[in-house]
Amino acid sequence: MTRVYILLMGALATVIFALMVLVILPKSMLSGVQPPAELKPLTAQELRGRQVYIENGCIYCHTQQVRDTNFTQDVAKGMGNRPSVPADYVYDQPHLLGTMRTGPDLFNVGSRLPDKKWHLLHLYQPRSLVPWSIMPAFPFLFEHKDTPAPDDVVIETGQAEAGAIIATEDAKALVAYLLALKHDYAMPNIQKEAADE
Amino acid sequence: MAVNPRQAEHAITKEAQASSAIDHSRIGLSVAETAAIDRSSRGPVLLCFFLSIIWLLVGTVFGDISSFKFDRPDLLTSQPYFTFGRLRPAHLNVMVYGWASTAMFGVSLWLMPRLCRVQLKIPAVAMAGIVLWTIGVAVGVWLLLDGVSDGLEWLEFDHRSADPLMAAGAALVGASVWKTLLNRQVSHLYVSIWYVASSYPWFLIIFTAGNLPVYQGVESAAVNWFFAHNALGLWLTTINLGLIYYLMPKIIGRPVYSYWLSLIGFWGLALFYALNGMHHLIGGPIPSWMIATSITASIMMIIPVVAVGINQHMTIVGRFGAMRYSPALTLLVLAAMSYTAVSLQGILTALVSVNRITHFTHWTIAHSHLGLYMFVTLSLFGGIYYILPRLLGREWPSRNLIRAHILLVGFGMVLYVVALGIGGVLQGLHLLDANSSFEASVNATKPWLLMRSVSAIIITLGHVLFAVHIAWLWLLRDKTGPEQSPFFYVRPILVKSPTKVPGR
Amino acid sequence: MSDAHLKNSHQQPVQNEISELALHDKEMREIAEPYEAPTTGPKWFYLFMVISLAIGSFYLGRHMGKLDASIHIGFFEKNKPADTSAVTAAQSPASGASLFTSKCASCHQADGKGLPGAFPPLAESEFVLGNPERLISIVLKGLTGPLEVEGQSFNGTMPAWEDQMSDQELVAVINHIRNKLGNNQASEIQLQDVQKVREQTASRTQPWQADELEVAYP
Repeated sequence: MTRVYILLMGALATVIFALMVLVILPKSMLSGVQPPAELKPLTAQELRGRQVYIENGCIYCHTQQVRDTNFTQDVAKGMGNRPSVPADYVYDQPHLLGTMRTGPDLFNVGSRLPDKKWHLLHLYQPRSLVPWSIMPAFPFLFEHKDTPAPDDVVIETGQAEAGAIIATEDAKALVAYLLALKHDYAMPNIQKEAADE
Repeated sequence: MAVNPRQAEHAITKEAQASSAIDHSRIGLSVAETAAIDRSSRGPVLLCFFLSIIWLLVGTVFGDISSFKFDRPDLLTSQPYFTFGRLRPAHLNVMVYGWASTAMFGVSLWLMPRLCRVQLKIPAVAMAGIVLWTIGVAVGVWLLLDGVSDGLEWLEFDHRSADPLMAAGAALVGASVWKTLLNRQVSHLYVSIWYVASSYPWFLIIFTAGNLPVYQGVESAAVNWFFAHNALGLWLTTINLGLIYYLMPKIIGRPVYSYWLSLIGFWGLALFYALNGMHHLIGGPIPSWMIATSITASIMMIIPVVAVGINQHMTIVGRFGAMRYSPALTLLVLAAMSYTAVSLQGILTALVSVNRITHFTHWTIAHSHLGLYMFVTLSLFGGIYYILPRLLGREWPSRNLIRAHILLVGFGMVLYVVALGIGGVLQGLHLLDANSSFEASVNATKPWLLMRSVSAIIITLGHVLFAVHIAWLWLLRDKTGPEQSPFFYVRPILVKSPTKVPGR
Repeated sequence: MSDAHLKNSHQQPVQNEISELALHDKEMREIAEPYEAPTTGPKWFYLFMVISLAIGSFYLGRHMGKLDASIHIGFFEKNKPADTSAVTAAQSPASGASLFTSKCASCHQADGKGLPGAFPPLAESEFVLGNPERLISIVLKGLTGPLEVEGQSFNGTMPAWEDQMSDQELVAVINHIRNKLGNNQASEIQLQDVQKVREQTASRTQPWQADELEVAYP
C-alpha cells in the first residue's frame, strides 16, 4: 500500500460497517419493543438501589439473564421460568446483564429470596447465612448505634453485641431493588410468536 | 562485512523504487538521521513510558487485592473504596487505559517517525494529549473508587468528566501520529504503519460510540460489548501487532516473510474483529442474528490470525537462537505466539458448544489475561526493552534483572492462565449440570483461585523488578554499560548480511 | 607538564574521536529498517482461506434466522441433541438432600437450625413434624407475617415453591426435612399427599399467614 487515503478510507469503512450492523441497526430494530404489562418501572427507592448495585460493582459477579434453554440449564437450575427477552430490559439503563456467575444469577432473586431480612443480613455478612460464600461483606452499608430509633431497621446478627446494627438508606434501597428483580411472568407476547414459529 | 550496508542500500534505492513499490521502503537511514528522528520523539515517548510504569504498579496492586479477596472474602471490607466491585474495574481500567494505552502512545510516537523517515510532527501536541489522557484516567479511577461508575464493563469511567478528557488526549496523540504520516518521506507504507495509524481513528470512533448515554435495555449491552471487544481488537491488538511487525524483523535483520499475508492479516482483522463483540452475549436476550453474526465473525478470525501467525513464524523461524541475546526479541516472540494462541482460544470459546460451558466462568478471565498480558503486556515490555536504551543512550544495567523479570512474569502468567482455565471449566461443568448445586460450582473454583493469587504474587515481584531496573537505567551515570553477554545484548543480531537483497 | 598528566591526556580521546565512536556504536545498534518480502506465502493458506469463508457463510446462513428482533431461535432446531439432554436432565429427580441445599439451606441453614430472630428452625419444629399437609401447603404457597416456632418469634417471608419444584421433588425434599434433618423422625409423605394439597390450594395466590394455617391445617 502506498496511499494513505486508501488506508484511512478502508479502516473507516470496516469500523463503520460494524457500527451499522451491531449498533445502529439493532437500535432501530429494538426501539419498537414494548415492555410487558407485568413489568413495572422501578420506584425511586429501587432506582437508588440500582445505583448502589452499580457503584459497588455487583455486576462483576452476578448476571441478570436467563439464557437459551436449548443449550444451557439456566431454567432447569431454577434461575427463572423461561429465558429472558429484550422486553424484560426496556427500562434498564445501563444494562446489568453481567458476564460472570461467580455468584448466582439475580434475574429472579426477588421471587426466589423474598425476605428483606435475609438480604440485609446477607449483605452485612454473607457467611453468617451461607458458610461457603465468597461474596464480600458490605459492612459500610450499615451503621452501629447504641440505641436504635423506633423506625430503624435493625439487623439480627445473632451475636450478642452492645447496641444494634442499623441498615443505611443505601442498604434498604439495594434490598428494595433486589426484591424488585422478579421476572416470573409469562414470556411476553411478541417473543412467544417468534419462538413458536 | 565487506560492504557498508548503507551504501548498498543507496545504490539499490533508485532501481528498487522503479521496479517495485515494496522495495521502496528499504531506503536505509543514516545513523545521524535515526538519531535525529529518535531525538524528535524522545520527550513524549519517555513521558509515556514513565507514566505507564507508574500505572502498571498501581494496577498490579489493585489486581492483587482483588485476587486475594476471593481467598479471604473478609479482607478489607470496612471501606467502600476497597470493596471488590470497585477494585476490580479499577484494575481493568488502570491496566487497559493507564498502563497499556499510555505505553502504546509511546510506542506509536516512537514508531511512526521511524517508519515515515521523518521527525515527529507537533510533538508538543502529542505531549499535551498524553497529559490530558493521564488526567482523564486518574480522574476516572478516583471517581470509580469513590463509587461513580457508568456501570458498563470497560466503560466504567465517568462519561461526563473522565471520558471527554481521554478522548481529547487520544485525539491529540493521534493528530501527531497522522501529521507525521502525512509528512512521510517514503512512498510505500510499511505494515506497521497500517496498524498504528488506523488504531487512532478506530479507537476514537468506538470510544465515542460506546460512551454515548443514549442506549436503553439490551442495546446498551450490545454497544457495551461492541466497544469492549473492539478496544481489544482495534486498539490494544493492532498497535502491538504493529510493534511486533517492526521490531521482530529488525532485530533479526530479515524481511517480513510475505507482503500478501500482511495484507490479509490486516484487512481480515479490520473486517472481522470489529464484528466479534456479541459473542460475549451468547444465549442472552439479544436478537439471534446478532449473535450468529458475531460467532461467524469470530470463526472467520481464523483467516487473519493464521495469516499473521504464518507471517511472523516464517520471519523468525531458524533464528530463535537470537532470543538468547535480545530480551526484546524474546518477549516479542512470546507475545506473537500468545496472539495466535489467544485468538484460537477466542474462536474456540465463541463456539456455542464450548461457550455453554465456559460462559460466565473464570475461563473468560484466563482468556482475557492471555490476551491482555501474554500478548499485549509482554509485547510492550519488549518494546520498552528495545526503545528505552536508545532514547537514553545507555544499556540496561543488569542482565540478571532482565532475566528475572521475564522468567517471573512469564511463569507467573502461565500459572495464572492454566489455573483459572481449569477452575473455569470445572465451574462451568457444575453450572451446566442441572443436578449440581451452586455451592459445588463455587467450591470447585476455590483451589484454583488460590493458585491464581500465588501467581499474582509472582507477577507482582516481576513488575517490581522491572520498575527497579528502569529506575536504575534512568539514574545510571555510566553510559558505557558493562560487558555484553547473552540475555543482555539488546543490539540487533546480525544473522545475515543486510546487503543481500532477495531476488538479486 | 608532569608525566602523569601526559599519560592521562593520551587516554582522553580527541573530540572527533568521540563522535566517531558514538557513530560506530549507533551503526552497530541499528541495521536496515525492516521491509516485507514480496512473496505470496504458502498456497495451502489461500485454499484454507476459501474453505474458511465457505464454512463461515454456511454457518451464518444456517443460524442467523430472520433479520429482526426475535431471540433464542438461532440455535433452535439445529441443536436437538442438546435440547433433549436438557429435558432429561431436568426430569431426572434430584435427591432431597441436594434440593434442600440449593433451595432451603440459605435461610434455614444446612443443619436445619435456622437463625435466631431471622429464620425459623426446621429441626424439631412442630411445623415440620406435625401435620404433613400443613408442611406441604407451606412449601407450596410460602408463608409470611408473624410466626412462633419453638418458643421464638419470627416475622419474615418464605417464597412459594409450587412453580419451582415438581411433585416428585417436593416429596423428596419434604421427606428429607422430616426424616434426615437434625433428630427429626416423622412419617414419610407420598406423592398423593402432595398432589392432594396442590389441588386443595390450587386457587390460592397469596402466601399463608400463620393464623390462617391454624384454621386450614390444624
